[in-house]
This record gives sequence, C-alpha cells and structure tokens, in this order.
Amino acid sequence: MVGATPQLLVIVFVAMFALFVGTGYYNRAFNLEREARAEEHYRLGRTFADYGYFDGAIEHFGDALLYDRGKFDYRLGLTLALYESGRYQEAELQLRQLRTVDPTRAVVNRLLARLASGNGRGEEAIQYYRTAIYGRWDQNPEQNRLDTRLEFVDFLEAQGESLQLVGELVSLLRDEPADDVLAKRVGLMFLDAGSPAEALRTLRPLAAASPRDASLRGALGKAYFQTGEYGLAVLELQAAITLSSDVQVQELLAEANEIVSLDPNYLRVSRREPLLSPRQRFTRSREVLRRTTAYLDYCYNPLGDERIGPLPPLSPEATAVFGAARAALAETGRPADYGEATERNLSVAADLWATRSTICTNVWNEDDALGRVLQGVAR
Amino acid sequence: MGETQRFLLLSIIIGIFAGLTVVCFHISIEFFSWATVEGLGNRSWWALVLWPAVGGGVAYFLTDRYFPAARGSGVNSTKAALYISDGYVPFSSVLGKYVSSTISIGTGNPMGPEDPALLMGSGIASFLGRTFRLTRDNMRMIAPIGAAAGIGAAFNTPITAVLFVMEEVVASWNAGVLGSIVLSAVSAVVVSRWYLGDDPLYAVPQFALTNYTELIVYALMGIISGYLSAWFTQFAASVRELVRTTKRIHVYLLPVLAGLLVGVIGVRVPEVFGAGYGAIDSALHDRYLWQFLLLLAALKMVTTSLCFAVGTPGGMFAPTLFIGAMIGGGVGGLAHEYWPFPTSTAGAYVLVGIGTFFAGLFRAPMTSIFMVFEISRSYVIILPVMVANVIALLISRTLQHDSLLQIAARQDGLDLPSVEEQRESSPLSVEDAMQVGSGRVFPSSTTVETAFNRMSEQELTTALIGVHGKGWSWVELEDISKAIEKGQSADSVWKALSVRAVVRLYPDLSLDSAMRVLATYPILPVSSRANPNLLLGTLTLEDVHKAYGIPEDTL
Repeated sequence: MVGATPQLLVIVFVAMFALFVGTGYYNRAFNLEREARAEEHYRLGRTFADYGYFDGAIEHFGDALLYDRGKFDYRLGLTLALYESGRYQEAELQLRQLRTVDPTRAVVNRLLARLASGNGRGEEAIQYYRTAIYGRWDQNPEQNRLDTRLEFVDFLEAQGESLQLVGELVSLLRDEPADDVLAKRVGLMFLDAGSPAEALRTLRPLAAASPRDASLRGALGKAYFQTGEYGLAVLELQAAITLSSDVQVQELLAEANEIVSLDPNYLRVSRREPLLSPRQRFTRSREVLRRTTAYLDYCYNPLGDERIGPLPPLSPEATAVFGAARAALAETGRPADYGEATERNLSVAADLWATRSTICTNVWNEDDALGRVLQGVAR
Repeated sequence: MGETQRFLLLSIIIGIFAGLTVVCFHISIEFFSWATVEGLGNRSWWALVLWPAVGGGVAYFLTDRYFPAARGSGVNSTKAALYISDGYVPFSSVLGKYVSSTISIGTGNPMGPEDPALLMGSGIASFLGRTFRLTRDNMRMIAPIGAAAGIGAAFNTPITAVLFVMEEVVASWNAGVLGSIVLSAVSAVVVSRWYLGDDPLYAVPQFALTNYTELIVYALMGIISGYLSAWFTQFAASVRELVRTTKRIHVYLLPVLAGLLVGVIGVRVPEVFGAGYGAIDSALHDRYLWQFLLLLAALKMVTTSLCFAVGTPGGMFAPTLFIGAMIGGGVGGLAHEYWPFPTSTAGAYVLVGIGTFFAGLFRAPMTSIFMVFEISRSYVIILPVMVANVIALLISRTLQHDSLLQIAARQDGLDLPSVEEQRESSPLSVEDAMQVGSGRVFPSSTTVETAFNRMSEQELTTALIGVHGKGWSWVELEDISKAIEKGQSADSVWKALSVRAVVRLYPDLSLDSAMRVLATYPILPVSSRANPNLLLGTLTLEDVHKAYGIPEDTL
C-alpha cells in the first residue's frame, strides 16, 4: 500500500462516512415506505378476516409479511386466518414459529392447545393451556383468561383427568371474581369430577340464594347423596322434583329414600322428623341382615334348584358367617336388649357383606341401597 | 503497521464500502419494483406485461451503450480480473451493474442481485486497490476479496460468501487470502445487517427429519435437480450461442422479447417476477400446492435461461435457488401425499432443495451445503442437504462437463481456468517421478575407479555417495575424472573428493517444491519420513521432465 498517505486515508474515511449517512437516509425512506405498505396489507387482511373472507385475509397478511417479515402481529394475523379457514397444519407451523419468538403470548398457546387437543396430544395441550392461562393477552386479558380456563377445564373433563380438573376448578374459583353462573358451572364440574365435597361448598350458597333453581337443588341433592348425607339429599331432591320434573333426579330420590328407610343408623335432618326408636333400629337391622343374606344366597347360587351339578365349596369363614346370619334371622322373639341385638345383626351383615368377593364370582344387580347402608355401618 | 496488517485493514474498508453499496442497491431494486410491477402493475395487466420488457430493453441498452464493462457474469469478470488483468475491474462496471440490474430486476425480470453485487464488490475493491497503489500480487487478489464482500452483503450470509468465492473464483485456500476474504465478507454483512436487519433472506420454519426413509426422497430430489440443472445449462448455453451468431433480430430487441414473455407469464403467475425471494418464503411456509411448485420451477427455468441467454442484466444466483426450492417443494409435496411412510410437509423440502439446483449449475458443493445450513440455522438439515446436493452435483457433472459460467466465458472469448478442474486435479508428487532403487547411489567405501566405471557404464553424469550412514553427498563424473587424473583411483570417493551435502526429499512432496531444490542440486535422495536414512530412490531434473511427459530432445 504505497499510496496510503494520511491525506488519502482521510479522504477515504470521509467518503465512507458520507456514504454511511446517505445510506442511512435512503434506508429510512425505504423503511417508511415498506412499513406503510405492510400496514396497508395488514389492514386489508383484518378487514377481510372481520367479514369472514379468510382466503383474502390470508393473501393480504402474507403480503404484509413480505414487506415486514419480522412483525409478530402480521404473522399472528396470518395464523389466525389460516386457523379460521381450517388450514390447521399450516396454522400449526406458523404457531410454532410464533411461539419460538414469544413463548408467553397467550393466544398462540391457546390455539396450539386446541390443535394439540384435536390431534389427541393431551399432555402437549395441557402444557399449552397452562401457558395460555398464565401468559400475556393483548386485549381484554381478564375475559380471555377466564375463557381459556373454562376451555381448559372442559378439555380436562373430556379427557377424564379428574385430579387435574379438580385442582384447576379450585384455582379457578380462587382466582376469578365471583359469578353465580360460573360458580354453578364449576360446582357441577366438581360433581362430575367426583369431588362432591367441593361441589357442596360451591353449590350450597348458590342454592340458598336461588332456592327456586331446580337444577341447582338437584345438583346439591346429588352432592349430598355422594357425600353420604342421604337425608339432606332427599330434601334437596324432593325440592328439585317439586320445581321441575326430571327422571334422573326422581331415580336418585327413590334410591335416597330407600337408603333412608333402611339405614338403622339414620339420623334425622330436621326436628320435625321423629328419632328412630331402639325397636325400629332393631327391625331395620334385621331387614339389612335379611337382604344381605338373600343377596349373597342369590349370588352364590343364582340358578337355585335348576342348577345342574354341585355348588362350589364355601370357605370355612364364609360358612361360619352364613351360619351366624341364618341363626340370627331364625330368632323370632323379642330380644333382651334391642341395642345389643341391633349391633350384632349389623356386625354379622357387615361380615357377610365382606365375604361377597369370594362368593360372588359374577356380580351384577348389586343392591346399591344395601351397599351404601353397609358402607355407612362399616364407617 | 506491516504490509499484511495494512492489507487486512484495506479488506475491512472494502467490505464496508461494498456493504453500503449493496444496501443501496437492494433498496433501489425494491423501490423500482414498487414503482413498476408492484405499483401500476397491480392496476392494469398490460402494464404488468410491458414492464419487464421495457426494463430489460432499457437495462440492456444502457449496459451496451454506456457501461460495456458491466456486461456478462460478475463471477467471470472477477475471475478475469484475477487471472488476466492483474486485479483490474473498471469502476464503470460498478455503476453499470448498479443501474442496469436495478432497472432489470426492479421491473420484474427473473434475475438475481447477487452476481451484480459480487461484481460491484470486485469493482470497488479494485478501485480502492488502485487508489492505494497496491503491489501487483496484492492487486491480483483484491477482486475476489471485494467479490466476497459483495455477495456476502447481498445474500446476508458471510460463510456462504466466503465459500462461494473460494470455490468458484479463487480455488485456493491460501491462509493470507482467506483471512482477507473473511474480513471483507464479515464487514460487508455487518453493514448490511446494520441497515437491513439480522434476518436471513427467508423466514425459515423449523426443520425436522420426520422419517429416515425421507432420505430416499431427498436423494430423488437431488437426481431430478441434477438432471434439470444439466438440461438448463445446455438450453441456456445453446440459446446464448444462437443469439450471438444470429443476426436476424437486433440485439436490443432480444431482452425486450424475453421481458415480454416474462410479463405474459407474470400476469397469471406473478411469482416468476424478480429474484423470487417472496415466493421462496411462501413456499417454505407451505402456501403452495406441489403442482404449482413444479409449475413455478418450470416457468422460472424457461424465463431465466432466456433472459440470461439474451443478456438481460442480473445474476443467476437467486433464480437457481428459486428453481431448486420449487423442485424440492414439488417433490416433497408429492412424497407427502403418496410416500408410504410419514414425511415432512413440502416446506422442509423447499428448504433442502434451495441448494440442489445451485450445486448442479454452479458446481460449488460446499457453498450449496453451507448456504442452506446458514439460512436454516439447523444442524439436523445437514444430512438431507448433503445427500441431495452431492447427488445433484454428480449427475449434473456427468451429463454436462462444463458449468454454464465456463461455457459463457468461452463464448465471450475468455479462456478462464476451470476452478472445478483446478480443485480436483491432483498435482504430481516426488514419488511419481523418482527413480526407485539405488542404481545411482554408491556406498561410502566405493573407490574413485569403481565409481568412474559404474557411472560410465550407466551413462550417469551425477551420482550419490553414502557418507557412512550420515546421509549422502553428490558427485559429478567430471570430478571423478579429475581425481583419476590426479592418481587417486584407489582412494575412496568421499576421501578423494570434497563432500557436498544434499537435502533429502520425501515421496509425498509436490514435484513443484522438489523442482525448486533441483535448481541447486543435480541429484537428490528420496528417503522415508519414518526412517530418513532409508533410501527409497533418487530424483534428477530428467526424471521430472519424464514425469511431465516432456521429450528430452525438446529441452
């Protein structure tokens, strides 16, 4: 570099600086024009999307992206249009790209969750839903978050993920502002998820506030039934039937009534109801023992006399319990002590009930009311 | 600051100037495009038909009339500067390429801006080299340094730029040149990104190999691209030759006609207009059906080859990427529908396909592989890209020996060295020329008389004498004769004559290096690297001549 004199270097650097400045201005003008064109296409895309013409929207969002590829909103617009027009595979590709750019954007995660859910990728969907719930919403965040949570609990319910569903419902009630419609929906979901205690906690105040809501009273009755409070269940179910006839509620009420009339340990739920006398408790305990013995007899030999061939031998324990039951049932006189006799009957019935897994090889038509009563006795 | 450091500094300055120029070039093309095919063209179909014709005609006229130095391929011009004109690239070629390519590409002609950018970089580098009055050796290397800067800024991929220039222009991995090329490319890319942003040319979706049987589909893609690139080369070269020889149509009219064809096609299929980056981007994101992708590849092949043949200003870099991408997408989309195993969507094949047609046409396999790697920023893609590109290259080379640029250079009367052949030719080494055995070597105990007799018998003028296991020395018949005259016939040679030590050669040493040493010593021992005292043979200048096939009587 023989000619690299200081003067020449100065000239070169001045020229470089001038070119930098000139290019800067030129680039600025270019960017302004580019952005204006991109915005115009984006605006047209949104208009098309608003009118439900998604092919046109896709075209314009795509054009907007050609001018400004890095703009998140343009790609999001394109993605939503693709999703709305049913081009799910393309939409998913776009969504995955968007997620790499902004993993916390809630709308992206929600759509990904829907697509994952639709494709049977449950675990993935759960992950996306959670991110969507706790992610960032640009517009109307409260409502969108609530909608997503409800969508998520619906998804969990459909998936049969009871444990996660209950957890999500509890946090939903804790986080979201009180709303009767929402609370009722959540209460019903608690019931479906097999969490009657949570359902009771949610539904009781609602039923108190809206005593003429038949579905609410029915659900409350069902919740009481599931928690083993059959007397209260009868009250609520009767109220529901009075307000509006419903076959399922009627069936549940009939079962609850049967349990209430059979249970020797039944405690009244209102002062108007009489307390069970020791004699009544004894009579009920005999009935429980009789039904238990009859059920297991049937279970052991369902064909009765028409049976061909010998019966399988009973275990010594089962034989002993059967013997005790038959002996108790054979006693016809008034017992010396109603309380003692009642406890003995119930004890034998419970022991007999406990042997059913060894006697009944093919259980069907299980006596539900009897089962629930004996469950209470065991408790 | 030493000469080397100053040269490296100049490389950075070249990179900056080239980067700034290419940024302005890029913006100018966009502005021109918005003002023509993307502006008025949207409102009237006839304008859309006419713009490429008008642009092609005007651009050709300007080049032919005012900037003749800007004619033809930038790669060939840069190679000509390197091999013929000692690095001289007229500055008018920079202006010419800028103006003509802006008009041509901006009005929708299906050419790319990379090759013009490459020549602009070379021109700027050459201009700065002349300004700083570089030595002749440095001046020769300055054009490729500028070329790397130009293409790096245009394509926004520094590694690709460096590899392309090394593979296509320089064909040498000399560390000094490589350093300068890297510096200029990197500085140009930094400038380009400063203004135009960090994003690569395409927003690339995440790539994954869904199934290993997909490699068969990628190989199929390579086969198709290889065949089509060979056909493209033959077609474009034939049309170019026809255009050069026929005088029936005025040369100014040909780019107009080619542009008209582009316009007619572009009215229905606007994706063929310009470099086609937008269409590749759309294809990458699965916005086209495979049938349409194949149609696009076919249309672009026809329009680009015609425009290239008639001399419409612009480069072939972007169109080849476009064609490869569309072929890839077409094959991929077809496989996605009919392949018995799960495959990725067409977008993934578009990405892999980008380099296949390029590999077949430019014969630059490393560039084609690293280009896709650099664009996608994905390591997973390397396997399918290697499979597809190497197959495309091999098939294209089997069907068509010379690349399109080589043919074009020859048509223009330039006999530029083939970088591909240079790269692949294996230079002769010492073992190709050496005489095996010890016929020319005598033990240290050999007497002067014995040595004289044996050399006379074998008609040797020089021989090697062992020096008691410490190497060899060389003697000439004339010296031995003199010793006999002095009455030293019975003495051992090394005692009678002064010992003249020689350097050792090794069999793997290049013959070129050996020849430099043979200027000093008439005969040299060739020994083993593992055991330097083990003599494998000898080498003389006559042996070298024989190896090169030079008849003795011509020397």
